[in-house]
Amino acid sequence: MTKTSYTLILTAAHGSEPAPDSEEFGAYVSEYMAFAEAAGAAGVLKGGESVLPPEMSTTVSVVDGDIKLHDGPFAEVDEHVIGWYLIEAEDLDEAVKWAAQIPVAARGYGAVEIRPNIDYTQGPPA
Amino acid sequence: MDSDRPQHQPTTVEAAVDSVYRQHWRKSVAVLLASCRDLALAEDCVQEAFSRALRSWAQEGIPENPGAWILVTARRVLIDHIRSRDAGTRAIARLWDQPLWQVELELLDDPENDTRDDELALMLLCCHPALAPTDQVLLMLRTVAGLTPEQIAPMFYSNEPGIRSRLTRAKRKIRLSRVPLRQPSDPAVADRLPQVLAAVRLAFTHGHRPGAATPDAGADLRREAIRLAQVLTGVSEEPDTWSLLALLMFTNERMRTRLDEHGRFIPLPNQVRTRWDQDTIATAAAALDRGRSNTMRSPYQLEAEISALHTTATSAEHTDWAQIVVLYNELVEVAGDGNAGTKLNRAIAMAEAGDHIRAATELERLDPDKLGGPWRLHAARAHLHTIAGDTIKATAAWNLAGQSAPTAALRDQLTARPGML
Repeated sequence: MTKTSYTLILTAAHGSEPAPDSEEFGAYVSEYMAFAEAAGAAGVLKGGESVLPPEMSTTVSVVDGDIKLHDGPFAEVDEHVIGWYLIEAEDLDEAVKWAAQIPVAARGYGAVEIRPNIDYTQGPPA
Repeated sequence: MDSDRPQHQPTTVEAAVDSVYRQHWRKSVAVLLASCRDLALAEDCVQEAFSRALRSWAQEGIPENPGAWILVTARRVLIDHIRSRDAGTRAIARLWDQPLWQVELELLDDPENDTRDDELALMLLCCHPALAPTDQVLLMLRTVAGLTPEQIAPMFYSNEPGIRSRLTRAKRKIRLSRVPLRQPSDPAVADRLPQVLAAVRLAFTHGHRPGAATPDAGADLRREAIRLAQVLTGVSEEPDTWSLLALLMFTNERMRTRLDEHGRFIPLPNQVRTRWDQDTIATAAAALDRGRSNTMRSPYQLEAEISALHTTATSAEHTDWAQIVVLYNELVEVAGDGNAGTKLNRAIAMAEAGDHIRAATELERLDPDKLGGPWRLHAARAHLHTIAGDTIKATAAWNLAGQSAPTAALRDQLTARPGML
């Protein structure tokens, strides 16, 4: 059975995670490294990045051919995206199992949203 | 395709198709689902096989093994569908290569074959926690119980297209997110039984919602919920499955006699208790007994105990209300503080047991929003006034309840109450 590809979107409330200058930060980061190592060894992890907070966002739209820039995220919400992973899993249950191990979820700072990726080589999703 | 089910004058063929539908619907869906992993597609193919049966059996006679005929035809429909969708791909090869093919036919040939594990596997799929609780129940009713969206809609205060589109979305999510079909023996699903029990309970509850459009449209739902609970007692060691079965069976006996021949509501004290089936009550009592092996008293068990006291009392006056209050106290404790419906029922039991002041105080503490609207609170007040013998206040409260009712049918039921006192 071919595996299914999922994007995991990591979200956290503002200020819920340890600050980079805190004592806690080092341990938090090494948990991410441990997760990536385990998921990589299992053949599940295919990619991912952490991203800077929304204050650093630039949002681009094109209006009547003009490129418009907006300083900030596309929507202001309490929770923001802190990063993403690309994984391949047998099924949703396996994806859930890995998602629950991601430190932002495991430590209760935020949540991980699982979205199945669209495989356009199989035609448009019906 | 649901409308293809026979609905006109029953002929021999239609009766045969109907009987095979009841026996083989979920089995066939489960088998096809294992091949294509697409619940919507599996159901459509089985449904198509049943429409073909109506035409074909009328001309060529009813086959020797109608169940196998349906499965073979459904499988053919599935293969044709996949062939036309992606001709030449590996998908077809996979289907033809299924070694299970022969095994499935043998299983179907065997009348003793136990399909309960298949049903539980389907129930577990429908009750996957990635699906919203209401969608879990809708899927169970459609896929496991084989009820049509038309049958389901009135019980959810919805219409047929509304139910159909919710089902379509849920099945699409199962397919695109690849929610797996797991066998009940899989340790990964052992802790999902409470969800299945809750969905069966909710399905039953929808089968006796007050104020549905037709007199007792919920009878089918309740019967199916009881059947599902029976299936669960056969495949699970958990005593709560027995408590649930007892609760549903006791409650259903009372439900059966709560409407008169015009579909009007009859309050419990006025119901003809001799119409309750003593065999069913005895079966329910035996189930309750098996549920008691739980070391801790669970909410299902407590509710079943309460239901048993109502159903086994020889008359409303002989009901052991004091004991019912004790059980409700325990239920409120076990189920946590959140359940306003339980507290409302407890308040009524308190009044019946003679403690009018505490009953009224309890009632005033409840939040109408947590009860599904103010009408239930008004109806409960009316009930309390009735017990206290204050018919003027009772009538006023019934009218308030009627005015705030969510449906016209319920409004009529509620405002008709004073005349029955």
